[in-house]
Amino acid sequence: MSVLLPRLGRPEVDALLDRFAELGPEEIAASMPVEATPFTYAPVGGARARTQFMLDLRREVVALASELGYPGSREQRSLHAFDSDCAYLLHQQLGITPHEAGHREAWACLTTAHLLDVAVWRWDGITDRNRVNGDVNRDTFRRLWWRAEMLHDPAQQWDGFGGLGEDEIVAIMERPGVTGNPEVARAIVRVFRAQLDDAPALLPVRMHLMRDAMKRLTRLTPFLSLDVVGPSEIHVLIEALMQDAADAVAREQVALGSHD
Amino acid sequence: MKRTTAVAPFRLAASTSVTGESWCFTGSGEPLGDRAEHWDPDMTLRLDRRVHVDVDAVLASTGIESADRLALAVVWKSDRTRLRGPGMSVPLTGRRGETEVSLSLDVPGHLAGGSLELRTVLICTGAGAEESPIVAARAGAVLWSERSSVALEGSAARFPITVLDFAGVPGLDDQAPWALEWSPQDLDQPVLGAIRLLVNSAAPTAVAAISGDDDPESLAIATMVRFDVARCLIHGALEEEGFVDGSRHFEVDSVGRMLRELIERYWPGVALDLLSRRQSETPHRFESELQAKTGLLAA
Repeated sequence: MSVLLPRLGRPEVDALLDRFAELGPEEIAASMPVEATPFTYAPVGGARARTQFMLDLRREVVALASELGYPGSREQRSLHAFDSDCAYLLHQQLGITPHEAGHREAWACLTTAHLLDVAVWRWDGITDRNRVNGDVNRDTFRRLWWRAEMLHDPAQQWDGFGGLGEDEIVAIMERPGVTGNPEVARAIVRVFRAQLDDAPALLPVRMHLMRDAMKRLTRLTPFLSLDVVGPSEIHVLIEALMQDAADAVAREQVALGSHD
Repeated sequence: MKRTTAVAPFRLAASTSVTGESWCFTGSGEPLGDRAEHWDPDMTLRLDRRVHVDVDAVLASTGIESADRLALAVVWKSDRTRLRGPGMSVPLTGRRGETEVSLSLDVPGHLAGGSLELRTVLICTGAGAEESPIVAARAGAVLWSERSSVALEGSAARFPITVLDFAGVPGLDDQAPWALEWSPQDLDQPVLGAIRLLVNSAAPTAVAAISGDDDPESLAIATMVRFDVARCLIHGALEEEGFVDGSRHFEVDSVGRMLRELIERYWPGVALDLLSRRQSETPHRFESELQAKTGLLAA
């Protein structure tokens, strides 16, 4: 049976954020998880995540963050490793459905009432409330869970998103109109990695390659439905498109070089 | 900024060459409408529809030489999960003239929610023998499409909501975006029977808001609806003597019980008679508290 997360409405979330806004991770940690807050649950389906479940989850996330510098140290490489490993941990441990994971109130509750100290460590404060209020693109933990859901093939061993960088992941995830089908999103990751393996000269400009490929795919989608073709056709199309992007990026590099 | 209309890089099917009937629930045959009543995330939504294709007209308008390169298919997309998935795909191999195709679609509830878009597409299944730069050749190229949508749930899921055209309802102003149908005399009645939020189908912004759309405008309107509904209910209840003085007992799931719980959540520990006096004697305070408690226009 899938899990239903406790939920918090916007007024309660804002009240919590007002309360903790100026505090650091260690001070907030002393109040985590927040109790005596009117949590609700979805009216139907699943097993409600009770106190112990949420405590266990918090313990695991804090342990992971602690290995990577929480609460006092923030290095870019460690933060990237946290995002990658925490995405997998959340996806494995939560046991929620995409339907449940589509509710802002569930993520707002998880982030503000159970893991706010970790989020504050991750972003060095709460300057952007969308990082902690369940926002569809920016909430600290919502975005990580969805990365694992969309980009990781559960039939394969976990490989930390194949070494994709933050910008490369964002380039895929923030285009749900293009990549809302996991088959397509995972094909992009596979083909992108294969392209870099085949042409290591592209490694220094890999972000340009991803951006160019996503632009090409975005241009095609009004006239092309990848959802109704098979995995092999998806792979062939993404492969051709990635090759075009690689050629374009390589030409651009040559042109830039000739100006140096 | 005005968006440039995308122009397909290949010839499309004439718009009249494909016509679809309404989506119906598989089994019962009942038409789907704009809201899937009683949907929940544990069920699979099963739908079907008939689509009529004038194959000769499609071939003439697209330049594709044979129906062997055509298929009709359907795709669903949920705004709650932002996921998409395919339904049935039917090749039109060997068909000529007017033909009818039955399409079906299963949408697993755990992958969906909010508003569900159903897109029927006529696609090219691959390149033909004769290549032309203006004839579709890629598998999946969309030659014709049609979208419809159905609300699976709203922000106020489980709160009884009906979307209808106010123009046809006596006693409702057809310019109003929504109205709450209830009576303070019905405090003993079950919530699901005594309260209904009516939303005007002629007010698309209100319909989008109660359908759970995530854009800022819809979210703001949803807070207005929530505030207005709470205000109507709480005002009505606080004017009922038996509700305020505690002399009436209300069963679980009744309107009265729901309202006592709602008020306790908004004003924990505040006595109902005190709240009733606050409402009549210092309405500005009461109203501002209610705005804050319901999150009116909260970012």
